Parts: sequence; C-alpha cells; structure tokens
Amino acid sequence: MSNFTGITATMNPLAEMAQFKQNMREVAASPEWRTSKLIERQRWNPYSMEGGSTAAISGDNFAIVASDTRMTQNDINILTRDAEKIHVLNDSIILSTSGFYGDVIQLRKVLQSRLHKYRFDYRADMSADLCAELLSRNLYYRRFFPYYTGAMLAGIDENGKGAVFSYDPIGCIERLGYSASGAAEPMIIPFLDCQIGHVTVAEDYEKPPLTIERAISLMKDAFRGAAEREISTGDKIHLVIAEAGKPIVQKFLPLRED
Amino acid sequence: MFRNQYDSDVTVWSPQGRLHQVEYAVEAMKQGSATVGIKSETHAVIVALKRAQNELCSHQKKIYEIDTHSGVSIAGLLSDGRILARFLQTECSSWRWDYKLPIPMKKLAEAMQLKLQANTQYYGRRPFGVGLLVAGYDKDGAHIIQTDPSAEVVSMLGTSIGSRSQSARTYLERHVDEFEKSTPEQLIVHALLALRDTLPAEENLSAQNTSIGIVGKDMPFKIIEDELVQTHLDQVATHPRNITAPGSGAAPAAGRQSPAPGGAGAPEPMQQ
Amino acid sequence: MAPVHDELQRTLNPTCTGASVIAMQYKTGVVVMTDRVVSYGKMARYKNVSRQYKVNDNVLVTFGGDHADFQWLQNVIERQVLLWKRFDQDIGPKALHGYLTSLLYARRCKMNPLWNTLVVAGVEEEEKNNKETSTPFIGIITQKGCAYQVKHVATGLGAFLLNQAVEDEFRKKGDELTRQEAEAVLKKALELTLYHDCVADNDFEIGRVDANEGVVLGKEQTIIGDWSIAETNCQYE
Repeated sequence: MSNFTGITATMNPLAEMAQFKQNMREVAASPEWRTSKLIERQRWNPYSMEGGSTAAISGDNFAIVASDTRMTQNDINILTRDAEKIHVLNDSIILSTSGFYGDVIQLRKVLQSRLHKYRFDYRADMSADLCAELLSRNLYYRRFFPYYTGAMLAGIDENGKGAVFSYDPIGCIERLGYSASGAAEPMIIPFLDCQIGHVTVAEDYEKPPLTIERAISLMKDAFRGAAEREISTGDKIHLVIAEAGKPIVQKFLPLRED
Repeated sequence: MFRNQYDSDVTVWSPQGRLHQVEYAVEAMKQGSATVGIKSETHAVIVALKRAQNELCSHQKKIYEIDTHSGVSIAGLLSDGRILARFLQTECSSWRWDYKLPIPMKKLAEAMQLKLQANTQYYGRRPFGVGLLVAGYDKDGAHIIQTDPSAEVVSMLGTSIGSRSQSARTYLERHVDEFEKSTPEQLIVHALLALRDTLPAEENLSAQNTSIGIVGKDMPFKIIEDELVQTHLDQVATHPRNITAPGSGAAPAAGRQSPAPGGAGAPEPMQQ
Repeated sequence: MAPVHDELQRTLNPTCTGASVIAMQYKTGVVVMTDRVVSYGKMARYKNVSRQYKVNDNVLVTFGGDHADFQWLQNVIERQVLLWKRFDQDIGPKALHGYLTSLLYARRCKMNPLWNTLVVAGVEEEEKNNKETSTPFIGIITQKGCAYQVKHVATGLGAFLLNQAVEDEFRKKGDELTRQEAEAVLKKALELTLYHDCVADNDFEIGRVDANEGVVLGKEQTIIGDWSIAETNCQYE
C-alpha cells in the first residue's frame, strides 16, 4: 500500500531489524521474571528455629548446665519432647545449645571431630579452655553464613575451676559466672542476675555463697519459671553437673508438658 | 638377603616373580620389637614391647588409640607407623563424620589395604617399613587385624609380628583354643606370656618396656602403661619361664636373626 | 553467554509432592503409614504411587515432599547400600539417618535444598545375629538438616493435626504396644488427616520393620471414613 506511513517506513529497514534482534537478545538473556527483584522474593530461608532454652552456672569447683528437652516447629508445634540440646563432649567439656538444630548438629560434629584428633595427637583430652577458644574460631569461620546457635560451653578448666563460656552466633566469646541462651533467655538472665549476680542488693548486704546445691535449685527454679511463661520451653529439664575430680552426672527432671 | 639386580625399585620383578624391595620392607618390620595381638569372643588385646634407643632415651610409644573402639600397635619403622596410625585415625574420624557411628573394622582393613598396596606398585614409592596389629570391636565382634608392608591385610585369632615373633606365635598356636572363652584379664596374661617368649633369656618384661591395649564389649579402647602394667606382669611372673639355651630357640625360624646390615658392629637398628 | 540464574535450577518450589508420614514404634519394630497419592499443587495428580522405599531388611525410608528429589535420593541410598555390602554389612537405620542428615544439611548450606522430610524407620542391630539386642528406630530429617529421633511421629500437616493424638495413644501402652495396636492407631490417624488435609488420600499403605520379620511392605488399603457430618456442614452449597 503506497499511502502507508507506519514508523517502519520512515526508518532504514535493515537498521530497524538489527535493533529488533538486539532487543530480543537482551530480553532473552534476562527476561523480567528473572530479574534480581524476583529472585530476591523467591529466596529460600535456610534457617529454622526449634526453640527451647539453656542456661549454665559456674562455681568455684563445679559447673552446671541445664536445658529443656522440647523441640518445636514454628513455636507452636512440638516435634519431640526428648531433644538433646546438651552435648557432653568429654569428661570436662559440656556444650549446650539453642537455635537452629541443623547447625547445632553440625557444630557438635565439628567439635567432636577436632576433639578426636586432639586425643590422638596429644594422648589426652582437650581442656575446656582450649575448646572454648576453638569453638569461638569455628563460629567466626562462618561469619558470613553463621551457625544460628546460642552456644555455651561449660566445664572444669585447667585449674580445676568451674567455667562457663558464652557466645553469640558469630563467635564473640565471654567467660561468665552464669549465662543463658535461647527462647527464655530474657527471663532466665534477670533471675540469675538477681540470685547469683546479686545486682539488686546493697554492697554490704551478706550474700549467700554459691554452693552446688544452691546452683542446682536455682537452675530448677529458672526453668520452672521459664516453662510457665515461654511456650517453646518445657517437657523436661536436662541437668548436667560437672564437679572437679568427679565424673559428669546427668539428670532429667519433669517440666510442664503443655 | 643379598643385593641383586632386580631390586632397584618396587616396580621391578625378579625372574622368580618376586618384588625384592617389598620383601626388604617386610624385613624392616621383622626387626622391630615384637607385638602380640589376640582376641576372645568379646575382647581384643594388643601388647607391645617398647625399646629405648639408649640409656638417655625414653621408651618409644608403640600403641595408639585411633577411636573409642579401636587401637593399633606398631612393629618396624616407628615413623612410618605413626603415619599409618594417623591415617587410620582420619578414617575413623571421617566415618564418624558421615554416619555418626564408629567405623566397621572391615572397612578400616579395606582402607588400610588400599593405602599399603599403592606403595608397592608405583615407581618412586617406598613401601611402609612397618607392620601393624589393629585391635577393634564392632557389631561383628572383636577383631585383630594384621598388616605388613606387602599390603597383606588379614584378620587373625591371634598373631605376633616383629623380632623373634615366631616364639610368640608358637605360644599362641599352643593355646589358641583357650582364647575364645577367655576373660579380658586372661587374654592379657596370654598375650604377655606370648610376648615374653620373644625376649632373650637375659631380658624380661617390665613396667617400662611393656604396653597393653584392650578393647571389647562395653569397654572403650584403653591403653595400659607404666606402673599400671605391673599388676598384669605380676600375674605373668607366676608362670615360670621356659628358657632354652640362647641361640637354639625352640623355634629356630623364629629368631631368623636378621643380620644387621653391614655385619658385625653395625649400628642399632632404627626399627622399634 | 546468557547469565546463569541457578536459583531457577534449584528446588525452591516443590512440584509433585507427597503429604504426611505417620510412624510409630511397637515392641519389636516400627510401623509406617503413608497415603498413595502424588499431588501437583492441590490436584491429586497420580494415584497408586508408594512413598516407602525398602533399603534392606533393616531399614525403610519414607518421605514427604518432592517426589523427584526423593527419587534422586533413592539412587544415593542405593549406592550407600552397595558401599556397605562391600564389607559384608547391611547399613543400619542409625547410620543411614546420620548420612542423610549430613547430606540434607550440606544441600541446605549450598542453598540448594532437597525438598523432603525423611522418616528413616528400622531396627538397629547392636550385634550381628542377635535379635535380642535389636532396637526399633525412627529418625526424622527435615529439609534443612534438622534431625532427631522419636518413638512416634506425624510429619507434614499431620504434625499439626495428629502428633498429640498419636502421642496420647502411644503413652497408654508405651513400649509394650503390639503391632496390631500400633496399626490401629495409625489407621485412626489417617482418618483424621483425611477429614482435615485436602491433599491427603484415602488409599494408603502400612509398611513395617520388625526385628524378626525384617521389612514388610504394606498392601494397598482404602479407608472411607464417616462423612455423615458433611450433611450438616453448611460451608458449601
């Protein structure tokens, strides 16, 4: 048709075709549904939280660690009432964990493997001090894809004193008298601050000494309180007691199951 | 054994179908101090004789724990042995990494066999100058695995390797029927009696030169050394020694006293 | 070269899926129940497909989630079985559970997960040829490599619907439960999922692993349930 005056007619048809092809190539190489925006939205979350709480107290010649044994899904569904959150790594090292249980399993495996090698190399078990440092390094090694665990390491140190090491997920380490981590951490810490740290009493007030019996009963109270008010904590208290010169003792005590 | 034109490296066959370099390595193992391993239905025991290079030197450790269910004892070049012990430890560890369980002893033997064999087939490699006894316990029961530099890896009821080990084997052959039902304590005594037979008349087992490794049902691998050995040695001492005139051993093949290279006045062998 | 968008080559959306798995220990073994439908979204796309895989005489692996991913896993498991055969052993449920945990966790770390919840059921032999010491085993592994061991379980939507019901039944008898009792509990549980889970099906199978009999795969069974209540449900026309 001679009077057709479309856009194409005004342009060089060869150049136009080249342009069209170029556009096709570009859109084929990165179509809109493959843009970063969309991929971002599709991104899958590699973490999950299995809830639960754990706490540790160190004394002059002992360390006690406790956790609940509940494992939950989305905080509302109980997967198991007998989860293992405290891991006795050797006769003087106890690892207690909360957070993402897949990472917990991996972390435990890494430490066990290193401890196995240490035992072969040095014909002796690793001490809690060394393992504490090792754990920190291992956590930091995954700085940019962290182990999502609130880890604590407790045990008897090289001098026969009780030790508790507390970590953040990326390996910041601190040696403390007592610590807690997990879902009920905000409840347990103030309780221990009050009862062991004595932060609420006057300096000259006479403070009760921290005996192993007192530490154990404080721990039971802390978890009974937490189980009342925190839904992912409950079922059982797993209590692990390390005392200098004695074998590690483990106990299970009932908690509420609702 | 004499030098010949067919022993330049491990890949050279002799016309008789032998690999001389490999056989020399086996000789190195035979010069190491003896070690004995026996097992019952439920337990496996390894005992080893430690040597001290001289008066100023401590006794070299010969038994290694490689996992909670397994340990290894070494005869021959100790430095080679440590490499192999470390290899076994790594195998145990990586199996635990994969399956969270202790490695089955048969798998361990297989891994060992492949590693040893590789050094008998490739030009430029040297066979390990060491033999091992691996004691272990898994769901198949107790195991004693013997290895040697020619990559022969075998599971045994009771065995001994190292210098004058034929005397120990003679003892084991005589008493092999008693092992199966033995208690762990009885096994240790049997093993020590066998080990004592490898010693020349003027020497005896002592708390310094003897180590014991034991593993079994509900019993993680444990090394017994130094003063802890003494109670077991006391039991052994109640069995009188039957010493024959030096040189004319009950089993002559035993002490195939490998002439030290270079003949008389040669330096101490470096095998342990 | 076109840029590689490998997000698109990963299972970030499952395609053909299976729903709940329900398993329970009894005195000498484990019973496992799955329905036999493959869903494509909410559609019951294929019928008469089993979700139970017999590994050997001691282990039965059952799954929920993506079928394709599991078929790939079957191949991996088969290789493991052969590897263990090489030194005259049958891989046990504990070892397989440990192995699959590592595998699923490793895939998670690569941001390329296997879209399955696995239930490794079986009987763990402590000593060869001594059934007395064998113990029932149920191990769960989630997509992200979170693994745990239980005595009874319901996965998928069943986890929300059935866990408590199954647990209550289990606690009445505990470890003394017989196989018949355990199977009765599972059938009751299936009926419950059928009423509440729209991708659950009424064709199902119950497999079992018994210390004495080994793995026995179930026959196809059907349950109708009681739909009389539907008359009074006025949520639809």
